[in-house]
Amino acid sequence: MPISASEPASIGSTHLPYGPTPVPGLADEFAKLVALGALEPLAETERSDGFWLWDLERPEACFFSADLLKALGYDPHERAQSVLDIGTIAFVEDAERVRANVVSRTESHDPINAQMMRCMEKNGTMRLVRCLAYAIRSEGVPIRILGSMRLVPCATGDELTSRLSDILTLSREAIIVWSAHCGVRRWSSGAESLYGITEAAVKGKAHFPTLKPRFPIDWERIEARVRNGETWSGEVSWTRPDGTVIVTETQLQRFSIRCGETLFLQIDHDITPQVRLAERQHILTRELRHRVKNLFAVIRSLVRLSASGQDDVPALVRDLDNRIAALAAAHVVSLGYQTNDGAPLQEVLQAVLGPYPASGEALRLDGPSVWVPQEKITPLGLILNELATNALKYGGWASHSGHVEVAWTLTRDDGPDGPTRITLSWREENPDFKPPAEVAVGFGTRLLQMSSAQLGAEVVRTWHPSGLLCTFTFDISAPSET
Amino acid sequence: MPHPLDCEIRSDQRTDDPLRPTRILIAEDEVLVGYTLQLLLMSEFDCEVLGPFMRVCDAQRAVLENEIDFAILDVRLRDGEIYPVADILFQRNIPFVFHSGHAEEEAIGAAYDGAPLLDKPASDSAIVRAIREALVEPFKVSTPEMTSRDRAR
Repeated sequence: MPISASEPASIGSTHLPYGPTPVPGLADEFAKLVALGALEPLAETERSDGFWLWDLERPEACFFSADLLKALGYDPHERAQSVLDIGTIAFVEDAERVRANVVSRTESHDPINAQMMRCMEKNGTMRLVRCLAYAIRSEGVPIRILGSMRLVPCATGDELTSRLSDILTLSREAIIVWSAHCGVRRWSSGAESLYGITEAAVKGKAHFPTLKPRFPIDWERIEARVRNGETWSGEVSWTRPDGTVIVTETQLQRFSIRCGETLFLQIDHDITPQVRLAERQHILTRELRHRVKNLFAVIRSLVRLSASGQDDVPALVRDLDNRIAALAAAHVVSLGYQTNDGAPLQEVLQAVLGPYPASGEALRLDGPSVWVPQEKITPLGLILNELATNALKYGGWASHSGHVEVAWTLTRDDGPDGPTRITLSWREENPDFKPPAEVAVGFGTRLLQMSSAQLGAEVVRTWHPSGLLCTFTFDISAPSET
Repeated sequence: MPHPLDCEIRSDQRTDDPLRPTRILIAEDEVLVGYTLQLLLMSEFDCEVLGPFMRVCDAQRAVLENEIDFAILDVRLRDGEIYPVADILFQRNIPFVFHSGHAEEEAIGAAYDGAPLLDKPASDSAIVRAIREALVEPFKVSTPEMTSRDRAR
C-alpha cells in the first residue's frame, strides 16, 4: 500500500517523499530517496557494494540496487526493476534480525546499525555482507528500511595462512576445510586423489551430497559436538563419483568461527585396504568354520555308516582310517588355496592316491590343469579312496608290476560360457588280473554310489582284460561359477 | 532292508503317537550326512523320508507335490539357499528345523516364528528332540505377511 501520511516522513531535517501522493514503485521511490540525500547517513569510509530498500508494509518486496545485485553475481537486467522477495537474496532470519534491531532504535534518527547478514550469491554460495541500515518512519511507525551492503571478503579462505596451504599441498592426507553455508573452502591434493574430485569442482559447494558419507552415529550429533569445540573421530565410508566406496578414519574439528559461521577442519585417512582385508578375513574365517563343521558332520556319518553291519573291528578301523585320511588329504590341498574355493585336480589326485602305490611309477596322472570346486572335494576324495583301496586289494596295485592310470579330458557343451565337463577315467593294469567274482554290496560300494551322486557324475564301470576301467563324467564348473 | 544303524526300533510303541511324523523331507547336499539323517529318522519315527534333496529346486517340487508333516533343511544347497522351501512350509503351517553349520544364520529361525536351528554337526538326540518339540508346538502364528527376504533381515 502506498503511503499517505498526514505528517511527512523525515530523516532529521530532510523530508522524505511520503506524502499524499502515492509513490508508484520501490525503484522510483529509491531514486527519489537518493535525490533527497537519504543515502548520506549510510556513507562510510569504505565504499559499499550497493543499497537496498525494504518495504515493511509489503515485507515480500525489497529493492536491491543494480550494483549490489551485480556484486552478488546476478544480472540486474534479468530482474524487473530489481524488486525481489527479500528471501531471494538474503537469509530471511538475518533480515528479520536486522529489521528488529533497526526498528528498536526508536529514539535515534541517526540511522545506523551495523550488522552481518548472510546473502546468497547467484551460484548458490553464501556470502556474508555487512549491512548499515535505518528505518524510515511515518508518524513514528517504521515503514521502510533503507540500507547499504558491503560484501565481506571471503575471510574464511584468507584465514588459511600460506604455511597451512603448504601443508595442505604437501600432505598426502585428505584435508578439507568447509562450512555448512559456504561449502568447501579448501580441498587438499590428498583429497583430490582420495575422492577423485578436483578442488575447483567442489569449491564453494557442499561435499556431503556428492560423497554420501555414512557415519557410525547420526551426523547431527557429530556436528553438534564439533560446533561445541570437541574433536570427533571415527570410521566413515564415502561413495566416490565413480561409485567405489572407500572407508576413512576421519577426524573433524572446529577450525574457527567467523561471523557465527563454523568452519570445519576434516582430515581423512584412507583405511579402505585394512577394512577390506578385515572383511576378507572375516569371510574366510566364517567359510572355514563352516567347512570344518561340515567335515565333522561328514566324518561322523562315515563312522556311523562304516560301522553298521561290520563286526570285524580291525577291518573297520583300517577302512575308516583310510577314508578319513583321504578326506583330510583332499581338504588339506584346498586349504592351501585360501583365496579360491577348491583345489587343482592334479594336486587332489596326488594327495589322496599318493600313499597307496608301492612306487611313484605305479600311479600315472595325465590331463590338463583344472580346478575342482570346493563342494566336490569331499565326494572326489572319498571316491578316489574307495577306488584306491580296491586297487590295492584286487586290482592295479595288488601286484608289484601293476599300475593305475588316471586320465582326464575336458569338454565344453554349450559354447564358451557353458559348463566345463570332465571325463575322468580310472584304468587299472594288472598282469595277474582275474575278473573278481561278484561280491556282496558293502558300504564301500554304497559310498562310491552316493559320492558319485553328490558329484553329479555319470559312472561307467567295466572290466577289461587287465583290470578295472571306470569313467566318471561330471560338470567341473557350473556356468554361474567364475 | 535290515537297519544299518544300531538304533533300537520301537515302532510298536509309537504307532498310537499322534505326534509321530509319517513323512519327513530332508534337504541336505552332503550325501553322507543326508543318508545318516534318513536312517536316523526312519529308525526313530518309522516314517517315510523324502529326499535327501541336494538342490532347492528338487526339494521345492517335492514339497509342492507331496503331503509332508516335517522337514529338516540345510540352508545352503548346491543351487542356492533353502528359503523358498521354508516359505512354502511356513505358509502351510508345516513345522521344520534348519540344520546348518553357519553360525551366523542363527537369526534365520526368528524369521519363521522361531523355527529352530540345529547347529551342524548335531547329535542324534538333539535332532530327535528338536523334531519332537517342533511337532508339539509348531508355529505360534500362521499368517505370514512378509516375504522371506523381509523376514530374513
